[in-house]
Amino acid sequence: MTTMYRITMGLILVALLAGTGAADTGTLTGIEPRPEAPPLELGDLDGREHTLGDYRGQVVVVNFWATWCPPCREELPSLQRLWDTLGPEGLVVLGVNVGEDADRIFFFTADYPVDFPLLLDRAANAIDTWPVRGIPTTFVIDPEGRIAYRAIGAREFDHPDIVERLRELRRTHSPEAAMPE
Amino acid sequence: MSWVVRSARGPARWPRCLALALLALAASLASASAGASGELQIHTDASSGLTTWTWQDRSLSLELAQLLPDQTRAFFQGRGFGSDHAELVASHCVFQAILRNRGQHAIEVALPHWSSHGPEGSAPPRTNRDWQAAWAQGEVADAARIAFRWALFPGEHHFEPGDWLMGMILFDLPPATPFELTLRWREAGETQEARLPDLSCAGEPSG
Repeated sequence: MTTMYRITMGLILVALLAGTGAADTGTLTGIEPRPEAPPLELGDLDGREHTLGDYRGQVVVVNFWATWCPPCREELPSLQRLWDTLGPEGLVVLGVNVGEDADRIFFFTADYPVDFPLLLDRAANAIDTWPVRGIPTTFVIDPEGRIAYRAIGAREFDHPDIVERLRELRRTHSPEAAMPE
Repeated sequence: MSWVVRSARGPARWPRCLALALLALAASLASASAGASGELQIHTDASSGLTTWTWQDRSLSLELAQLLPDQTRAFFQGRGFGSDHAELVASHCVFQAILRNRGQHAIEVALPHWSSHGPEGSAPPRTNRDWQAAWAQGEVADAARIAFRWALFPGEHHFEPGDWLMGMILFDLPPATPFELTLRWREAGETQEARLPDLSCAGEPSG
């Protein structure tokens, strides 16, 4: 393919994303009653194992994605900004890559640098235990390990409405909030 | 192509590209009515010749962007498919679809309830489930089969307000075939339907 051809195709992608209103994405769907989150036990790019139970007591954002998925790429920088903003307050972000190997993801992160853990679900076994039918799909897990929110399709995860919801989720589950007056 | 666009140009160049794309989009949008309450917009890119149809009503929008057989081949070969299997997919009518719930209620979408009406009759899109048996028989690598599954628009999905997904939709039609599409979805307990006339699969580029 020629460079011009690739640029043209890129413009089509941009027009597609612009046409869907991808930027207007500060919504999360609240899940009530909150179901227990399925298990998640995967290694990251550095070989470190993560389980969802490791993060009990914290709000966890679990994002299922792939490098070839345009909306996944679109929202990845906003997940990084969310991590930058709320990570110091205890929020955890886990990016679960579906079906790709570490080399491909490693090269991808040269263009899309992220600091939060990228977990490898190479055989797509983990995603099959979660209620996911399309990617990107993102879940917010409350400190008690339950699914509190879900987002299907890309979002701007550092949108003020989302940041506030996540902060509120942490506040309502903090030990201070649970103490009697 | 959109599915295989690499990020080597970097995010810093996107704003200019975005402006160009929006200008091109705004300059060449055409409208036509489709169904009782929806509107169909048609945009043909001057450079590529590829057409995108965007249908929307108060509750749902659907974009169908033509994919060239070459683009389909390249995407699936890049995901680990052999040339024969990639060719099999590329011999179908492939669109990049974006479906969005733009209303106030949840909607249910099931592709097997959609129908394409072409010269040879009517048929639903071919979903991932239809293909996986062939891939298992053809000894397609696991990584390729996983990518195929998640690259296709899901056969059935529940969309809450604000939810949207992008994925490929494959029709059992040869490239360059004209057809009409009937969409169906469930909203607030009722089945809704819309007809999109005068769609066309992308063909092999001439010359």
